[in-house]
Amino acid sequence: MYIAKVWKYRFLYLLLLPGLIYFIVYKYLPMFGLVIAFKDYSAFQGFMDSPWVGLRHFRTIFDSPDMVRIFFNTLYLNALQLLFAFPAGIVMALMLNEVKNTVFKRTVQSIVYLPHFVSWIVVVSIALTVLGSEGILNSLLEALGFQPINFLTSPNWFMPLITLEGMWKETGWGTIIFLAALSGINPNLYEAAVIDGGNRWQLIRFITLPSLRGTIAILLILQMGHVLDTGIEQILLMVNSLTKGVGTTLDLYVFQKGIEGADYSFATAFGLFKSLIGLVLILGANRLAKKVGEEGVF
Amino acid sequence: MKKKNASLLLMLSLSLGVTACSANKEETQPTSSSASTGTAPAASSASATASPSADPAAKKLDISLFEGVWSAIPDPNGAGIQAINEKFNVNFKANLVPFDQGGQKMAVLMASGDMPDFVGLGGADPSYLKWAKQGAFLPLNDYIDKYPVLQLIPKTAWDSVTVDGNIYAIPRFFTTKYRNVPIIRKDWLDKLNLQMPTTYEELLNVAKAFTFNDPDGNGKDDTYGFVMANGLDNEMAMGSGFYSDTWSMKNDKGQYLPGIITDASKQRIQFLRDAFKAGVVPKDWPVLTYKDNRTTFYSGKAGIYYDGTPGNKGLFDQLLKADPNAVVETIPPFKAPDGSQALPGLSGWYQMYSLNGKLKNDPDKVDRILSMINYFATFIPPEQQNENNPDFDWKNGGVGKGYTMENGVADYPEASLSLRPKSYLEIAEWAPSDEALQVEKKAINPIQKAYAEKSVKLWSTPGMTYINPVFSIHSDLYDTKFWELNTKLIDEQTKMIVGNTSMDNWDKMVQDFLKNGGQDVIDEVNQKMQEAGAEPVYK
Amino acid sequence: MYRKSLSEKTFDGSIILLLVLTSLLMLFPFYYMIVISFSSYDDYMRHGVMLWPKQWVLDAYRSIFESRAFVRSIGSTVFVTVAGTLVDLIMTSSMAYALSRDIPGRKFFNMMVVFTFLFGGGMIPTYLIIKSTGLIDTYWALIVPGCISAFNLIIIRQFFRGIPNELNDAALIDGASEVKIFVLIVLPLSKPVLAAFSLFYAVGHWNTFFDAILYLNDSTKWTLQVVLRQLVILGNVSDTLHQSPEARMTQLEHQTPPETIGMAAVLVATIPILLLYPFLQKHFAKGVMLGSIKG
Repeated sequence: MYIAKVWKYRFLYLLLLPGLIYFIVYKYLPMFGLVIAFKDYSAFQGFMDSPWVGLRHFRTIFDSPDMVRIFFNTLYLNALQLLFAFPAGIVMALMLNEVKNTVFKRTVQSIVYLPHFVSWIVVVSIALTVLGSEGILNSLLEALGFQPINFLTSPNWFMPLITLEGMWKETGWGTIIFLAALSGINPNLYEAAVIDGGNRWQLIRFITLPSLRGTIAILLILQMGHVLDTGIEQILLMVNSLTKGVGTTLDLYVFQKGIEGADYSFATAFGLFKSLIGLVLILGANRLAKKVGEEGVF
Repeated sequence: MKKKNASLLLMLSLSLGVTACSANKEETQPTSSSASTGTAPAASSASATASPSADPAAKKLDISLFEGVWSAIPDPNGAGIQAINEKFNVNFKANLVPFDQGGQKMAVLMASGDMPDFVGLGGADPSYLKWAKQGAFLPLNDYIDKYPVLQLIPKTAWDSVTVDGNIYAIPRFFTTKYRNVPIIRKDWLDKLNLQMPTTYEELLNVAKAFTFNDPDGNGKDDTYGFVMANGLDNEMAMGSGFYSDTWSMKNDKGQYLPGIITDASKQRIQFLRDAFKAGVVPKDWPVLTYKDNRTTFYSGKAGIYYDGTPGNKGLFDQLLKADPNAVVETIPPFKAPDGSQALPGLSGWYQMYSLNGKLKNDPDKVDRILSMINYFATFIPPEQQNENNPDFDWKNGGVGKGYTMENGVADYPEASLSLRPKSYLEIAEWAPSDEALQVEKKAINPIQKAYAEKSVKLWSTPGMTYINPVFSIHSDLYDTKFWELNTKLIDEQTKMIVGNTSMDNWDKMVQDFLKNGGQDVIDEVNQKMQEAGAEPVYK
Repeated sequence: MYRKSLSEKTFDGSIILLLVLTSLLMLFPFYYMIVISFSSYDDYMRHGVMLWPKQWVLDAYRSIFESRAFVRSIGSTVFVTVAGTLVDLIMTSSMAYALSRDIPGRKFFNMMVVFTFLFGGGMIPTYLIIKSTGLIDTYWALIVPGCISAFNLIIIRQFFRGIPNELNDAALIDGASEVKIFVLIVLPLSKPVLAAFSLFYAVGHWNTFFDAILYLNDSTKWTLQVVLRQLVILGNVSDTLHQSPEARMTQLEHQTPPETIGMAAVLVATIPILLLYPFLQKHFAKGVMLGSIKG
């Protein structure tokens, strides 16, 4: 019975096979390296013969007195991103979807995805020019009779600025997935709804958005897996002595300890720690999604 | 079923892991030369000229190098490398990568047992010490006597790279003098009828005048007294006693202290705080970078900055365009609270080569590598750096090809990078003294030339160069923990300068530093200094 | 046709206004980079950010195109991008399709994929595997080890599942084989998705940087990004806690590329891949799926 079923799908297994081999060879085999998180890695003893040290490297992660703060910073930034950056892509895709003029639509699409290709160093240098104490924005504020704002050195502005820069850079790029999803909607649905007297908001609410639900759910679940990741480059370029307290995230902290190169075991332990948290969150989010009737990622 | 699959997978991966590791070892063990053969380029023509004899140099050897380099990366098959292959009868493979990425690739190569015959490293940092202790490198104690250039390397430099009595690296030359120290627009001083400052009070007045009295005479309020950047880059230390990274003042217990917590630094931070309040530095300095500052100073918009000698030609060319009458001078050091009045010296070396530990059974190859290093590091005096010196001519790929001569000064165009053998083994030649380099002679730009001549003279004053005693020691705590704490101190000091916190916090800041591990660093550093007999020296 | 009400008009108008403003905001930096890249370095030094070059010069572009390594790297990059994207698409879509169908073991395979989204062995074990599969110093090292992104796979699979089952069933009843369904029905229906993900993959390959340095010892094979970064080291993110004064002085000595060249390099490296978008964009058009269902 079972075998018969497998045989029935033999072509599908054939399609699966190359990918499976790929995952085993290039993703699973290197995972033997994870043992090093529990060892004191020495290049000349190799992965197997390096001495075991148990959870020592995991304890080191929590060694810093600033750890609570660093965790908070990391989660705060991710929360901001989830609340603002993530919906921004959906909103922009919906707006583009409402545009009837194809030329205008395509032009806007081509423009908003440009910033994705601008490197962080350029983004940050532009931000400094615009937001500096003698920058364009503050000159404008002063001309209008307001007090200038220390955007770049004020701790309160730090994470919002990081989020805004990220939104500027990635929102347009993020619309691509949603636009692809929207292109699959059956136009008949709209026609029928218009005949029934539905207005534009209702069309968006009852047809467009529901058809994006599956994609949104999956993206959200996957994002949960990276809730402790913040990247390094952008923050490193933006942070300064006055904002370090609010700007140091887990990734930055580990990077700045400068151990990546010197202490391979610690770096591995740190990555493993982040992945475990991510796994727990993905499993939770997946279960939640299934409860509300979504398909989930597995 | 799931469980079964998982364990099977684990077994599979473990066994593969083991074989992968052991395979590595075998591959590189017997004659690590075989590993690098592979795609030998058109070097075969070179072997034709090799003379057949019992001479060990007659055997053509495969030699591989890995290094992260600052300069542009030459073509791996360029004429320069072919010349090296011919001259040393080798098949040289120089795997050069951009410096930024060098450290990471190095870590991977070392960890996966792919270390080439020799590697270029940044310095005696924690990674180096770790690899050295693990036996990655060849002890060179028995070899170095045979190579004349290596005799020139001072004991302090050898000490820095020695681990448990073994020398695992060959340090490369760097000047002891000519570190980047505060420089000033002398023409602005003269124009505003001001004297060269000798105290922080005078310095503040000068900075104010540079900001508000229109030193460039363009009628606009567009100049700054001085510029500084994020992380207290250009800390305005007017003499070795004021620097954050020197060890020259003692506490009550007679221990040397790191400069960043001394009263001299407190005085300096107070000055910066006053200067910030007076508006003589860009208000956004905590978010600026050194690049912004260089641009500001060398486009004639700031009066004080810091730079090395002879400085960068491109930057001085900019200044020349911005203001042809500019005069730049090094600010002579102020008298520090510890009584010193000197400029901070450098360690006298930077970057190094280490050989693969597996070469211990291959003395011919060790000799060939060291001969190459010896040759490239041999000093050619400035007056002989022309086409008449055969070594100079060869190292640089021949006049008219690898380099050109203009008014007796050699020029090395980027386009002929791969024609110069030197591009593949870029070692600073070991000069008998800093003065022998005659750095001032290489400046063509008149502003730069005048600056360099004056600066070299200042540096040549006896007793002017302070030698940091930490150069001679190795302290794990200093190498790692100290710099972590140092960053925190800089953050605190930044807050004091911009007025976010009061100067009254100074003592608390120092206490926190000592409590959080700073005292341990000081203890260890002082103990090691005593063992090594290291004291601050003024040369 | 029905007449648009006033509220509909304000609705459309405000969307267009918002999109125009957003576009301007996002176009500005490119404009800024273009202006700087065509300015002379002297003008840039003297005037900083300008709205229009004082004088249009091509110096920055000339110095980039004069580099032999640069011209050579274009070939490598185009090859890696084209070949890589093809391999990625074939590998990802076939696996995604298999996993979108209710085959026995599906859940386990899905878990396996998601797991790699979170866990990786790290740089050194990956290097060892790439080495033992013989890819070091070949372009395949830049193509094979990353040919399926777990993230992309999961999303493409989700799209495939969105294809109405009736379609497959109808085809099966008609006697079409699974092969035919995949090639003749599913793939054409998924054009928008495949277009979107070929863009993601292509951009990823185009920007290959560290992998090229790590896996290719032969620098003549290096990709565009590596070569351009050599021409212009744009930032020094590598600065960690402490840099010795000697290192700093050496860095200062070597890092004086004019910003004009920096901006030109960024544009030169970006524009070819930007041009890909309009070609793929037309596949995002609406109603593709509808046509097939009706037909």
